[in-house]
Amino acid sequence: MAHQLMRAVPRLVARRAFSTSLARAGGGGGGMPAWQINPRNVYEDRPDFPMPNVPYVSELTDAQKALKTKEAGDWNSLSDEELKQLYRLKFHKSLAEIEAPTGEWKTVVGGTSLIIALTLVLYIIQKKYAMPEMPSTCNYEWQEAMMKRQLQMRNNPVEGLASKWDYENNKWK
Amino acid sequence: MATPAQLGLMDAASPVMEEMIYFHDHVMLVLILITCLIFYSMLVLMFSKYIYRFLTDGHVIETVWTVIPAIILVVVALPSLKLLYLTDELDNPQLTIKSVGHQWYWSYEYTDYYDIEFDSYMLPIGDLVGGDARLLEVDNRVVLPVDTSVRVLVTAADVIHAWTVPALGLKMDAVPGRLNQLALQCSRVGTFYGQCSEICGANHSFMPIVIEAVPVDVFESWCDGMLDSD
Repeated sequence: MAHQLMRAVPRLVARRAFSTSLARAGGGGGGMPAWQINPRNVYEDRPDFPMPNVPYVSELTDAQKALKTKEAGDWNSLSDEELKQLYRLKFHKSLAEIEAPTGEWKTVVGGTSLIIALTLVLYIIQKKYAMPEMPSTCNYEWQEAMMKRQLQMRNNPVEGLASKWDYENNKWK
Repeated sequence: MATPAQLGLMDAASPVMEEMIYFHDHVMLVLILITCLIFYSMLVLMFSKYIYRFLTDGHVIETVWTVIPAIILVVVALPSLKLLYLTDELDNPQLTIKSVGHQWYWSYEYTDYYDIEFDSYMLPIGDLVGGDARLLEVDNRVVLPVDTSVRVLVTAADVIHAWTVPALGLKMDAVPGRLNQLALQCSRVGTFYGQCSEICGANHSFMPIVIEAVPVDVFESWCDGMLDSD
């Protein structure tokens, strides 16, 4: 078990399943900030780190390289479509897309409700066919007699049952 | 005894239980305040649009949320310890009874003035009459005088049991080879039920305790009746 874990951890780190962010000591050198959330330079869509260190698309096709060369010049010469393309080379999702609701809650609520419903069905089946009969003290007449007995013996007379019975007029208060 | 679907404590039948109810209310208030604070904080954080990008450490808030719980704990602990020592106080008991746990019944001994001993078995469901409480009624109840300080010495004959009466705020382990002392004082006339509270075998759930608090003259008549029947 331990050696399987030892093999799994580097695999998970390589797949960026969890962050291994480190704080950098001292002030930033070379224009980099002193503390980075992701110093290993992996692209990640995070609302709290909106400008990742690396672009989303790092290996460009020839057409994309040409567009990048055009970007180096006057930006007024870029069309709307080219601007959008350049944005999508740099970023995977816009902030609005990152924060957009996914509807995952519906799956969770639906799945949970289904499991609860199945459990209720199983319970009803076993109550009807497997469980023994309830004792005779659980029927209505016995419960009524028990309540009368509790009132007679002044059970919980301060704030409980007997405190709610009007003994002079023989009815509930 | 408890009424159906009862959630709270039973009404107190002894001064110590009254104090326990007050303490319970006090601690419950503290817990509700803490819970409301946490829920409010969670809701505010969940629905906040802001993200704090440079959250690392917060020395001031960490000090605050260490000191304040420590103060809250002191506020809870002081009345708790007072109550703990109150339960141990014995006020010149006028009567001493012994309660011995067996598998699976209780036996009681009133040996101060006379020699009264009897066993107390649970009534099986077939022996109940209409209105009796299932698993709670016994054939011989513990009859005690009301407003009298009583010492109960609890022990066991075989395995560990526990003698409990919630309405009086009593619970004490019955350990074989050991005598544990309980201070009992019923403030009002009535019948008070309890159940064995330490796992002791197959019929652990079927060895209840019933205390009948009666006026002193009724108690004396009962003693006479028990002696005559012997």
